[in-house]
Amino acid sequence: MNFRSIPIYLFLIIIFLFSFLPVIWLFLASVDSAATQTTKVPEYLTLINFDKAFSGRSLNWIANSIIIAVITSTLVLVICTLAAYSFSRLNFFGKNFILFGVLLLRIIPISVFILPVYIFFSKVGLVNTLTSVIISLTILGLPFPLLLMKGFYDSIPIVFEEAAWLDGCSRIKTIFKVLLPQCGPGLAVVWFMTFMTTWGEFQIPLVLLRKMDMMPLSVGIFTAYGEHGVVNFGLLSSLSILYAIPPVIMYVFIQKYMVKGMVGYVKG
Amino acid sequence: MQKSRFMLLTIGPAAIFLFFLLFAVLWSFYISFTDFSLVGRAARDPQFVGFKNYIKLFNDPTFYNSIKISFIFTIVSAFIGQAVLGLLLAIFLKQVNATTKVIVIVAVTLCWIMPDMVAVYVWGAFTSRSGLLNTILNWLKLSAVNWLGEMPLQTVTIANIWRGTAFSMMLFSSAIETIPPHYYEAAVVDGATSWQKFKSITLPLISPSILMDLILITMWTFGYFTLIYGLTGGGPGHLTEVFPVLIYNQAFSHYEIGYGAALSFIMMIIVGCLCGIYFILLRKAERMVY
Repeated sequence: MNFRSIPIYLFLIIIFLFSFLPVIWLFLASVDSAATQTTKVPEYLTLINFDKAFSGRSLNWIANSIIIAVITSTLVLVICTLAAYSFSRLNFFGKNFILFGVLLLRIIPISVFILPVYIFFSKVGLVNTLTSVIISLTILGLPFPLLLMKGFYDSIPIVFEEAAWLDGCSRIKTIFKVLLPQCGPGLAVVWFMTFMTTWGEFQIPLVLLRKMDMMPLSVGIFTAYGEHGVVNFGLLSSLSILYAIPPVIMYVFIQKYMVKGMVGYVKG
Repeated sequence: MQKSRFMLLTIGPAAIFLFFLLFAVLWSFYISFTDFSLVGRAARDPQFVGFKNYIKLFNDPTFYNSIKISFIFTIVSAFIGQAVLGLLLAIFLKQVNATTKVIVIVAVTLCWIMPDMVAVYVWGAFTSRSGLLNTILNWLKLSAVNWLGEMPLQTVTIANIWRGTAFSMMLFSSAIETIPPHYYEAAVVDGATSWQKFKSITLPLISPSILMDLILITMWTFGYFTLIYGLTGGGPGHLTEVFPVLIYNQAFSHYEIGYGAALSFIMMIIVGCLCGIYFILLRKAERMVY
């Protein structure tokens, strides 16, 4: 380490502290049975908070989050696998126009769509059901995986499919027998990415779900945090840690594709 | 014939969902011309009121306040905060040893990858009266501050920088990696300083990435609801009421869905204009580099 790199290390230390300090409390509070908002090392370590997180209403929230995220990502994956094929392999009227529309849809903030979606579901009478949340999240989750899948398909030469057609394979069959096996991690990337965004989504379930036992973790933690009276910080901290684990693990698997995917297809 | 049936099969499901969205948007456009509400007579039997919502909107001080707050929040936390910090990190991390690099990247990325609500929860405690931030101030013999009460906008802005810097950092890192090293070697032979290398090689070559980064983070920050709503709910008063929070509060706290729908459309127009400007700039930047 030479003299000139000292400011660089100083800068990095500050950034590290800035990133890490707020999170310390979360870990300490999660193993403290009498946690408050003060950061302190608990007198004795306990896992009772994690135990409590798997019971009562928090267990309900965990289940709801899993149901919503798993169904939504699977739906998105199936729909995109099919639709991306036509966008990648066929030419039809208005294709680029539609792709540009999908692209815009991906950039426009979700807040713009929140009222249209709410008004629709309240008219149809589906407010306070997981179905409404799953449908809205599927729609809002479609654009990005669609472009991503199209990118994966585009990178596979068409000659493999042509060979399959010659052997009498139908178009729809070539998707499953020829294209998908070559996409490799592509399917997992799409599924994981949709899972991560759906898992963290707050605004849609906040608006559509008003019953305590229907809420996913995001809205549940928010509601419990804002409750009057004594907030159980230990329980909420352990619940937050559990809540953060799936996206962190998934990120480790797909980090290579994450930024590339988020940027690459904006160019269209 | 074969082809169109096949297309129907593949694009069909996606089209149904996307048409639903279009339909919902058009419907709420209609709603923005009514006095539709969640409670009272207007909930059962909304009346067509013409441009009343839009006229009300342009005479509403909270509307202008939200635009101002939104732009301050976006410019300071996305442009000045995330983009500049991300760029500095991307450059500096290239020059340190692997261990330091990994530790810093993991810490920064963790803030970005955790769910929104965990970030809200963590920052709520961090900036609370008895939170770690005030504890540190006490150690330094400074008096404690009620962060979310006294300086709410500054606090949420910094929280958003904390949350989002990782994306810019990663985007810039991967852009810098694509620059051929012999450019720098040639510059060193010519006796260029670090600053000259940055200004004349790095910056121009990654300018499309910078623009792309700015497009994405401005849109995300402009539409960022969870962090601010979770920490302050738009308050105290209207001090942190950014546009998405204003829409939510109008529609679901004041139950004025029609008015909220009108606000949504104004937001859509603002976002659309920003997108347009950016895409034009992006085309230009790409033409300059390639």
